[in-house]
Amino acid sequence: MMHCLMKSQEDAAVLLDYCAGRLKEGSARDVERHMAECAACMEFVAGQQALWSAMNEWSAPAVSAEFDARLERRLRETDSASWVERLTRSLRPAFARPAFALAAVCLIMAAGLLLQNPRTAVVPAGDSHARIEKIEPEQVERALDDMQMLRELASAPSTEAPSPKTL
Amino acid sequence: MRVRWAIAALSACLVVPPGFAAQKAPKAPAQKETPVERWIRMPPAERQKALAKLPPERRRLIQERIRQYLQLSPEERQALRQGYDRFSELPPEKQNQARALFRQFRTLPEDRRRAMRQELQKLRPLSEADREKRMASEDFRNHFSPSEKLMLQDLARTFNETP
Repeated sequence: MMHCLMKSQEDAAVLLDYCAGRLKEGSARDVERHMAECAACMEFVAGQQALWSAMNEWSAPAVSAEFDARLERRLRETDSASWVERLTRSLRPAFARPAFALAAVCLIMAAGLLLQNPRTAVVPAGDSHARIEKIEPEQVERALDDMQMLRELASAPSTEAPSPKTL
Repeated sequence: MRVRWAIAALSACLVVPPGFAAQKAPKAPAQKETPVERWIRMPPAERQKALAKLPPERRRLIQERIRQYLQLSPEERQALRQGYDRFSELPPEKQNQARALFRQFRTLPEDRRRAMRQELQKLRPLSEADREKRMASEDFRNHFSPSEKLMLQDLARTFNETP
């Protein structure tokens, strides 16, 4: 008795050749004898034959009567289009995608925010001391001296007013 | 197609009005912080670290002067800041000249300082010619010595540039 053809890939190929009618007559008889006793091989061949017969019954839908005319019209349009139209036509599918529109919106928003407030976009939030320039006590003393001078000499004091308090 | 129009309209609403308004609205000129204000805004730990390098008396004096600055009214502080801004824009040699004059002024007794300050306020708005006329007057000569006259002349000229 022939061993089961479904157990190895090579023997399964013999079954496929049988289904396709590619086996020689003697070999085909051997397969048929085996199938009479092997349910697995019989089932496989039955499935294959059902598939083949379904494919044989399928037919492509008929081309509409206007197909040729429309194709010719489009070919003529392509030939007469300017180079700009031909260039942009290849990009149209990209512009038409929602993802492209969304990306464009994000880009516009980011640019808008940056233009609106470029400084705050650079400085990390929540660290107000990071922006404070360090200053030495000597600079503070100098500024206080200058302010004191301005208070006494550059401001308009009321009559009989004593010198402003020291800063 | 409708979705794309909706997204475009939404982005226009989100982005254009605030940005447009911010760019079109005339911005007030940013006032520079004075060193005193920068010092006050420094983190306390940084301030203590900087002061620790100074002798205790000088440290105490700075802290006292800052305390007095903070006791000024907001209007006084604003006026002082504006005056300081204008003074800072003078050439360094002019600034040093003003400081030297002030040091000289501070050596005078309090009553003379008061008299000089009052006279200075009268002289400052005058033209150079009117100032000379006023200083040549008998009233002026009766109240101020020749050295005080010279000092007032310099003070009026210098502080006329920092109104």
